[in-house]
Amino acid sequence: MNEVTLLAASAVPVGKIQSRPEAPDQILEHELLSEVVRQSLAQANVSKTEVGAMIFAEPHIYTKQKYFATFMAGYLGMKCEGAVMEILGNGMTGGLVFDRAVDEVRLGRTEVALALGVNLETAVPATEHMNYTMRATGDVDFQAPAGFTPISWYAMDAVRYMHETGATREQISSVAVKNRKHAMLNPLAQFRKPMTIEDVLASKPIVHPLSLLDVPPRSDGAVCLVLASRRVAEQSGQPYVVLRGRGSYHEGVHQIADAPADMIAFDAARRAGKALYDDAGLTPDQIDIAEVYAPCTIVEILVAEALGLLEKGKGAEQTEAGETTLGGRIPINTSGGCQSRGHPARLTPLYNALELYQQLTSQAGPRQVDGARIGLMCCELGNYNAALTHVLETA
Amino acid sequence: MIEHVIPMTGNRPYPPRTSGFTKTFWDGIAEGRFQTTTCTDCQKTTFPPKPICPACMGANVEWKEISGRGTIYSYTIIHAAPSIFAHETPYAVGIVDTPERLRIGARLLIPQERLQVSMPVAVGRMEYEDGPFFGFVEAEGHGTK
Repeated sequence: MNEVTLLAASAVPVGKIQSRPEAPDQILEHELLSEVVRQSLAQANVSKTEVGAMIFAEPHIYTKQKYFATFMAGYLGMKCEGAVMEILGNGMTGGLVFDRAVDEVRLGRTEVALALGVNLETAVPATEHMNYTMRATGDVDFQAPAGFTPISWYAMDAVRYMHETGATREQISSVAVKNRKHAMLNPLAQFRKPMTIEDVLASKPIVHPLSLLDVPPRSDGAVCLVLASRRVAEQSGQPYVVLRGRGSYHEGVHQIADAPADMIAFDAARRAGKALYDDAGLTPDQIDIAEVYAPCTIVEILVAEALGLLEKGKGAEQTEAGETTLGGRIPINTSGGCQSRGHPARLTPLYNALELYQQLTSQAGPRQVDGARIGLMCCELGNYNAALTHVLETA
Repeated sequence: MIEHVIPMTGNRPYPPRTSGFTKTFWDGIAEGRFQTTTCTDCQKTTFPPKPICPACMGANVEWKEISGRGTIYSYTIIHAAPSIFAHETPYAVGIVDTPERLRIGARLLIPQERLQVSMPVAVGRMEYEDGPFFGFVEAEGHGTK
């Protein structure tokens, strides 16, 4: 197996990009992404002829161009020995894209693979978008008719967590305030104005007990990562990070188990975390920074607990105390997380990888974590029914 | 037995499909029986009902009426809903654990201010104009001192 590096990462700022249907000037998905690909190859100092695989996040149904991966191979004139394909796996989509691109290099099918995609959805109202996404986060015959929404499951995590641990709403929502502080320092972030805990608590209710600023915004994005062999990375003369380990687990559950179980243990994340630590020969206390897929505030707390980064049942309290803030014991989501960096859902794990790349190569500017060498990322689908973890290390 | 009937306005916002297999379940809801399947080989009961047993992968399952009672494991109140459900907001949904060791996600037809974790609940039939669906109501006798 070949060693794999992350040699470059480019993206557009997360935000509202998708054109309304009636707009005279349309944003075209391939034009948007082509510029990001161009930037990432320039950053990597590799030529297009070295790219041998392109793994795409499958665009949303709203994106006009279908067979987007092979269309882009044609648009860019990329000749590839390895895979040119699209991947869909709910929230884990971007993570699976990263994982598959890594494999192309690891297996020696190519020395340079791109992990990339566009996420365009914000011109479609949330209430319409949910008519579609509710079918992805529940049994369409036995649960969807009850009116569950994707984030309603996370809200139930919050209610249960508060019941079991005595954590307060303020403690849980402190995640959003912390993430906003981070986003204010991130030029790629969607929301960069100051925000207080009072703002979060006063925002309109969405899914009790979570309100607007606890839940993810609607976001578009475009991102391209360059995965390369160690040989190519060394020859590039550019900074890079090395993939040190990986773990994954699907608990064989879609949203809720069919028998009573501890829903807020996030067992898939715990197991994917253990697999990662075993693979990398690391322990949680050796992780310097983490970028975790956490659409809602409560989710960041629960996944950090499951990964051993925060203490079980104490994560909300520890977050409020600043342990996961820049300058704290274990900075989490220095990008600003889903609430403030933004959540272009199918790309979020790729944006998380980009943040680790910038941090671990000391390119994170004012939000740089001093001495960060080992970064963990974790993504999921459902209600953390499956989790995929990677750890990256400074070269 | 389904003892509670809750009148609902209009049609089901997102009606379930019926197959040759699940017809037994949906007919049961309409007729007042809350049923699911149990494996006759390994005795595992599952919800939703399945034509195969996910525990032992056998195909010998039988329909069995279940109590329709349980307690709330967790719940939420949905204020921002898909447009097809907007006219029902705010509404509560929850996770109910039953004595048969099943976990069921369902609508909770319980006043918001009364909702709490561990509350005993009982299954009810939501009577829409185009057909029924199931949900849970507060169990009788609960909360009366």
